Amino acid sequence: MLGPAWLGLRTLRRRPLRTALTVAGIAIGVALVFAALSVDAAASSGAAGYAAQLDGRADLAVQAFGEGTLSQATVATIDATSGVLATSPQVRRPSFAWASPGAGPGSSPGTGATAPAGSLAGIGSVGSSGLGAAAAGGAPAASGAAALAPVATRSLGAVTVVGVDPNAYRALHDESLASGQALSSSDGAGVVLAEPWAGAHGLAVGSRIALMGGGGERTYVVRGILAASGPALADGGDLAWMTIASARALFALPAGSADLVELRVDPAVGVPAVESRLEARLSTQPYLLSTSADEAAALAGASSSLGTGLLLVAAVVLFVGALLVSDALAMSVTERTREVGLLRAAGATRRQVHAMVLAEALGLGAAGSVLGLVVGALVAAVLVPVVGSVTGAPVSGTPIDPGSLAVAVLLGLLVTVVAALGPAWRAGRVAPVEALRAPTRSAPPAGLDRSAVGGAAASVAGTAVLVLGGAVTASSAQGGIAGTAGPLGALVEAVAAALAILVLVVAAGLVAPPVLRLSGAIVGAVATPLRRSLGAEVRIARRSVAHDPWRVSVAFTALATGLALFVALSGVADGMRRAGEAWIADVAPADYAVVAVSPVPDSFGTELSAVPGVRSVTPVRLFDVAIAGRRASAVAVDPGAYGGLGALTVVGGGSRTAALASLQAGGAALVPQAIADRFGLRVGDSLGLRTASGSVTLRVAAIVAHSLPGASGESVVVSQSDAARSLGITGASMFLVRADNPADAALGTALSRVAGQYALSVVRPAAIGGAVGGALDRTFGLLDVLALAGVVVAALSMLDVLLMDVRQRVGELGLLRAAGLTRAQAWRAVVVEAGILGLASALVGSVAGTAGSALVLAAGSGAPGFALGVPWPAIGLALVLGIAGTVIAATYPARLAARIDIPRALRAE
Amino acid sequence: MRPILEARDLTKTYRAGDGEVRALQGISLAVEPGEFVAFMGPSGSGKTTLLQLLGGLDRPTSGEVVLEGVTISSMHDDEATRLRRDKTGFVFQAFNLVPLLSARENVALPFLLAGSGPGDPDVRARVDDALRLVDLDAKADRRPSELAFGEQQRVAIARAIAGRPAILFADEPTGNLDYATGIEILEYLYRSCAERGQTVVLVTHDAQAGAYADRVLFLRDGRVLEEIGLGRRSEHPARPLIERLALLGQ
Ligand SMILES: Nc1ncnc2c1ncn2[C@@H]1O[C@H](COP(=O)(O)OP(=O)(O)OP(=O)(O)O)[C@@H](O)[C@H]1O
Ligand SMILES: [Mg+2]
Repeated sequence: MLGPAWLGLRTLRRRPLRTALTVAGIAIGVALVFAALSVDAAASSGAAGYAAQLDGRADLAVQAFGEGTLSQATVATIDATSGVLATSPQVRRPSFAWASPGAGPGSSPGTGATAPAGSLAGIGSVGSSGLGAAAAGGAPAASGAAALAPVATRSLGAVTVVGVDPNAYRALHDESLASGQALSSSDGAGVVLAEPWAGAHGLAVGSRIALMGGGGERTYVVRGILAASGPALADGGDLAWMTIASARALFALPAGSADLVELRVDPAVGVPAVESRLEARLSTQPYLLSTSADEAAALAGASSSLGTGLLLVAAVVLFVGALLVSDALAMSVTERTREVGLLRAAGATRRQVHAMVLAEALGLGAAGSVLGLVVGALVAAVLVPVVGSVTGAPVSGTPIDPGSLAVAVLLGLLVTVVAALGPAWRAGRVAPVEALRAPTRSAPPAGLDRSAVGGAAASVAGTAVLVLGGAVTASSAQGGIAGTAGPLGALVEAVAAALAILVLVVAAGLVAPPVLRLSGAIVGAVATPLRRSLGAEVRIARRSVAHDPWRVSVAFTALATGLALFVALSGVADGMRRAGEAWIADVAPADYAVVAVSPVPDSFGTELSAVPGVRSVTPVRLFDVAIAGRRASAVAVDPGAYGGLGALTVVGGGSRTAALASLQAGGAALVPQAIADRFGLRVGDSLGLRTASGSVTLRVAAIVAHSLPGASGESVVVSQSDAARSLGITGASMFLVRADNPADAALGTALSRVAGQYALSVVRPAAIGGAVGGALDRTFGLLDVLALAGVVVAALSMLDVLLMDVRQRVGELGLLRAAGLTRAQAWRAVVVEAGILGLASALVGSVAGTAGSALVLAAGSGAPGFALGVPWPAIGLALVLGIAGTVIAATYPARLAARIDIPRALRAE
Repeated sequence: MRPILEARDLTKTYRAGDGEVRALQGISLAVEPGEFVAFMGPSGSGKTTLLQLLGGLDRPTSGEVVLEGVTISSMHDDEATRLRRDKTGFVFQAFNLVPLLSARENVALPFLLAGSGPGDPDVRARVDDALRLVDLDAKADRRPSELAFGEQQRVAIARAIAGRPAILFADEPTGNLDYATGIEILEYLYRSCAERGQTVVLVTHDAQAGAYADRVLFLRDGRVLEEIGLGRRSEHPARPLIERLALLGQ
């Protein structure tokens, strides 16, 4: 029977303001969920599209592992594997370029190339060069270091050289020439550049550039420029293609060798089958396999972890919206107790009463969802480009994604209906005799009942969000989020934060009564000096709040949740920023880092020392090693000098002095926590390290919190003498420079001048820290905005509660007015009550948010002694927001209270 | 003697739906200090409306109300509220008390609203005094829900007189009470008038109640139909009033 359900819908029209508030609350939640899902979809389709552009028709790539290339025999084996349709062997490694006016300055004997501290320079950026990324990062050959001669021409900076067999390469990739000609197979002196890089340096067809490689330095003529599409999107477009023969000559690589082989797989055979065949056949050399799906997933990871963060925050906002619905329906049921009793007396069944309340909820949910979709599409249109700029990964796709649309609507309806279950159940329990009972002024004995309803609604809705959050986290994790790399990986942890907050805040609903009393006391104490002018209002407000805390507990929980989210996000961002600063200070305690594309002799340090204003120069050498057959990074340092800078915090294995002394004595390594966890290493264990030129077993002398990041994450710290003696690693890939006066900007310029002559570049670790901080600020700023939306929804809920409160207390207000309460006093009493509610919510929100952020930071840092702090500014802001939001919400109900018609209010009883 | 309260040609017209209800159609009256006046009349005759206008709870459509020489009927709401707080006390038929406050706090309400704390010794003395008058000093700390209905009305009386108002208005204070309790309430009202010279204006249906007054104004259709002078209660029994009312068709 439709009757009562129809009545439910009619109710929505009876209280248009409440209906509008509730719809707005749901709409904001649905809008954010829709926007977050759309952004996520756009980000992953963008990433997939990007990866597809980079990979072209290649399905798989085999990359050389560690210090070495794939030999001619290996390349031939790959080519001969059945199921492989086409292969494109490539050399792909970093180089340094100069504009060359004529012939390049005579060839200078080069050295093997190892990745510079690329990871250090690349912190916070999310880029990829497609299947060949790892090879470009660190695939190198010989390891000696030779003398360098300065060059006098204009430096063009770092560029990735890609050596290809043009025909084989074009079989896998679509190049689109912007000008000039494509590379021909026999061209020994030509390069093709990508448009962005060529454009940035004013290079055109016919320009000459000099490139440095392990085989010395050579000069090339620009034959063509590729438009920024397809493979030219890799490495931000800093690319130079040449024939693979030229590249082998430039980098002094053996004939027939390659850094990686891209290959196309026979669809009839399938990628997995070819993968296992390759695994079976490639046994002589270490290698790394990657599929284009891996690549897309890794790329999508960064954007999607932001998307996940957005989604989680949006889900919390929707949860707050659910509380609003639950509260509005509970009020509606309370107000209509007599009416429901009348219906029951007239023969309505419980089911019909349930149907009535659920219909009311569905009406709210449907209206909210529709409105939310419209708003959400607008929000997504704004967010999609913002997310692109925050993550640095390309984002594309329409803001309106059908899947996201369906999920958002379903979620909106589901949450509303779940929130309605409590009130519906309660309405069903109204006895027919309620209709006959005279309405009483004293507040209904709703306490326990209300707590049950509020608690049930909160926990059910909370559970729904938890499940959703869990699902999202799991799916993102499968999507290949590293989890710990970079500020965006930490968003995964923000997810955990949101969940923790939910749990905390559902509990917070239960602490409402004492907290409300406490904040009433605080307001009372604050108002004491104003007692003569404000005493009555404060007293009335405090009584009213303390009288029936359950009445406001749901709105209170909603506001506390929104504020907790806000505080937690700020806390996590602060903690990460501090951790980032501490990390820089720990691993690169220098004013400048001078980074080499390929290792240079330590003696170059003396040239840097000669620059006026330089106090000290400490060389370090990052290199690749294999640990238990797996690729890792290591760094060779002079223990005295590096330790003297204040670097390294020992977290296991005695004092720092002792650790540095063991390193100095030789035969020992310091292992960063991350590697210790990865390989299960403990102090005193033996650690086998292998490079192309040797191997050594070292004792783990200590575990350190962090160390310099190399191509494969944080590095094992070894002494220069061990590295040179046993691993064949010499020279320096980076010089840490201390200035006499760190604030002296001129020093940076002077260092750059010297470094540029030798193909070295200068970075400021502090600037990296700043860039990380900036990325963090943008990311968390975005999330904060969403959290504020939650605060707005909660304020709507407060408005609703206060309206109800004023309506219920019309008689009492009339009495007070008759006894001499002025309009201004009535207005202030309601506003002060709101202030107490806002303060209480902010208190709980701050505590829960701080606890949540501490949990996340503790879980995320892994190491003890992480920087735990209370985000005071955020708490201050939460207090202001909580109180101001509620007080602003209270102005309308306060006006109603001030304007009541006394005779009518008295008569209403 | 100058009257403490004067009404001049009061009319009140309510808009109800599309029509109008002329609740008061020109009422003039004067109340002397220390007098006990009762308004009687059939339901809908305008008693409550008149009381609300006299007490400054509402404004007349025309005419004026002068309380202790000031025209309350043309005052700004805030001024009228303050005058009400300081010069009048109200007792309604029911729901006189703020449920959240104790009996003592309810009695102290006008002082509280004026900005005094309940701890103020002067306030305390006045509140205790008022509670003693209604014999409720022993139950001063109970909440209204913990008091019998008659006791609640006594608290309301205590509140109405605690501020030593110029005039006390009571609108059917015994309407919800049984006979014996009703008489008790009337005795307390009478006591405040007789012992303290409190001016009282009482609205009632009940001739037994009306008989406590010095003077009864009988209203019908928004006009004063009859004025019945009785003199002090101690000097007259209820019977003559009852007979007179019977003649008026009550
Ligand atoms: N707010 C209002 N709107 C419309 N009509 C009203 C309003 N208040 C009172 N009335 C009408 O004014 C007339 C006088 O009402 P009033 O309450 O003053 O009567 P009363 O003598 O106190 O009656 P009772 O003995 O039943 O309390 C009645 O006809 C009533 O219906
Ligand atoms: Mg009346």
